[in-house]
Amino acid sequence: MKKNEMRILALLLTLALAIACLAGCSSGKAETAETTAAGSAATTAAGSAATTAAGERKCKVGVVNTGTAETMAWTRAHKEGIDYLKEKMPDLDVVWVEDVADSGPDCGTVIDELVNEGCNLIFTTSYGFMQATQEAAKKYPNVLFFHNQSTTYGDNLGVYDVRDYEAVFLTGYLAERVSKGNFLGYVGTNPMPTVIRAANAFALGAKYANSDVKMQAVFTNSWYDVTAEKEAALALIDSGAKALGMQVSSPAVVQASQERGIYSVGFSDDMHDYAPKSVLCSFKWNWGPLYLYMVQSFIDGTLTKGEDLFFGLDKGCGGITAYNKDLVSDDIAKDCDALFEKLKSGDVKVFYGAIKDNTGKTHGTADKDLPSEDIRSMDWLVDFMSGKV
Amino acid sequence: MSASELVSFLSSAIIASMPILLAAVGEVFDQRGGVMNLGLEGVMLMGAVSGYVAVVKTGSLTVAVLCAVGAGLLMGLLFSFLVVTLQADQTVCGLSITLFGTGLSGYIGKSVSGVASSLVFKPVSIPLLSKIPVLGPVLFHQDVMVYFMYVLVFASWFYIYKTKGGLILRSLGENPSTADVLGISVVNLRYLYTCLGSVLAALGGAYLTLAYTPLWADKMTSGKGWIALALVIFSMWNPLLVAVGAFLFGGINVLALRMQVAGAAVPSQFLNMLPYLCTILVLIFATGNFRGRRKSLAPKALGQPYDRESR
Repeated sequence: MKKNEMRILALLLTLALAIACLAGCSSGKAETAETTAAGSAATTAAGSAATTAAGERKCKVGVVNTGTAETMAWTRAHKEGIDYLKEKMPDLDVVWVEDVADSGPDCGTVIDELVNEGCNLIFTTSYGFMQATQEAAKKYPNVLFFHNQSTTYGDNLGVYDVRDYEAVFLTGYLAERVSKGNFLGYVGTNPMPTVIRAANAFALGAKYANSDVKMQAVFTNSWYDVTAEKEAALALIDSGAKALGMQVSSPAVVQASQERGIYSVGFSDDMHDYAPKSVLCSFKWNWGPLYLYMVQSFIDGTLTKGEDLFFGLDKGCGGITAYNKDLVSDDIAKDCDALFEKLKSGDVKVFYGAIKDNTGKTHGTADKDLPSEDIRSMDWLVDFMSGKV
Repeated sequence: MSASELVSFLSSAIIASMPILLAAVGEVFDQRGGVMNLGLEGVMLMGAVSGYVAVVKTGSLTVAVLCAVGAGLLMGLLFSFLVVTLQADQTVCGLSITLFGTGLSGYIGKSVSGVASSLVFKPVSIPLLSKIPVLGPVLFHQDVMVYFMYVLVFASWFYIYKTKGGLILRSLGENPSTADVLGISVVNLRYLYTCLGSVLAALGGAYLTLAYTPLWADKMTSGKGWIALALVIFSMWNPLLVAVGAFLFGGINVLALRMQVAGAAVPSQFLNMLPYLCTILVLIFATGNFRGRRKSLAPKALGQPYDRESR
């Protein structure tokens, strides 16, 4: 091809690319924002919350997420929670923003836009948004912020989380009852408190069914590595694990379990279809009731400043999908349902009393619940669970 | 480690090495011809998503493999057009292909996100050979893609070093103007080998979704394309050494997790770091300027567009 022809072709291609980019940009940036305004509620002026005569506040909710609901289980769980909220409050104005980078200035920019659009109750669902949310709270004192899974709160910044360990305890019990194994495994992503507490809860649940059970936890040290999750599962299975619990991002663990003929419990999504011969049930976050509580309290004026909201089964948060009928017998299902009620009412407590860890240290005090701060900063594994954190 | 544990570990190592191996062998063909394709990650993802969408929608593994091949071919043609015909900078174009492939695969994958497929390449035992103690089940109780890989590695080595076609390929990467003078069509052959490389990379990606972890998750290759690129240099553009390096990398990855289970005193984060550390160390020794070492074995014309007019 002659040089001139090449230059013209290159120029045309660049032009086409530029037009495509502009078209892409005009229909939405890297973050896709869907505004749903089912009602005719007027958007409030930036920052201020107007109160109606009945003492209710107008509420426009903004939710900032990393990843997209389609591709990330974590964000999908929050989407389900927000959908639950919208179902119960169809007139509510909710702005859902996803695919916001976990670190860097994007979260701050998105929050600025949400506030400009009139949002006065903003949820940020990724741990990495913590700093941006704290700075935004200082910047916009009239907007109420809630950050997911952190612990520092005050003024107009609150924190919210689900006591996942209650439902995970139940899944550990179920896994042990069905598999009747002496050795169970748990695959986690990064050894951070939220993952560690779930591993411990799974172990304690298994022990509740069989006091001689031994456990092992393995961490892939990555939030997202599908093949590592599979290899970790295979390593545990080859060591003799009869059932696997997990807190990982893909169904690789349940698939590995089915391949080798052992049982497993899914996480965050209903993983039954990926391994119908292995998955006993799946853990679900059930953020919905917590979102509903926060929005309703905001509107009726009882939620005016940042609080620490750590909701469990008794409030409808955290839970499991239906049991796999082919694998879970009616007796076991009945016992699990009974345990569920006991966990809900507080008759059975997951982290209670003096708990020994696998380095010999003891945590908590006899006859007392383990304090929430200790649960949220958990960096140890129970004594019958091997693994390093 | 007992015999059965050893078999399980080695078997897993081979499977773990497959995606990187296929992509790296493809890249060897690319780079021997003088073209550096940095877009492996994007092509692997395109192959992975194409294969998975096809297997979910048609229920046929054959169609899925063909779709992955097709995806690789299209990506290869696109890249060849940019760097061979338009003679754009190969590094920039390669990175663009990575971004393009990553983004497009994420978009295509939305329709199968959360959809399970029960159709995978299952291991098939080769009758007599799989009875050999230890090595038998490790090498000969694998799926057909692994057997294809055995053939591919040896055929590639034989082709590149022992045939006239391989000699021509090497000349394209060492001194394309000489090849041009001899009447060899540099442009056509570079197109051919770049597309071949892309097809193999796409198959590497498809191995993930059709055999290793049969699910689709956004960006699921997690950097394997980049490891494959490093592996090509590490193995000095020799397909046999590529296979060794891939087994090493895959094996160490699997080993790191198994050592965690075995309760090794080393922190798990260090064990996870090992494969990358080993790759870096080997790269330093393979390409470093140590006294008495031969100079770099890279094809001399690697990365330079061939323009007949400026010959």
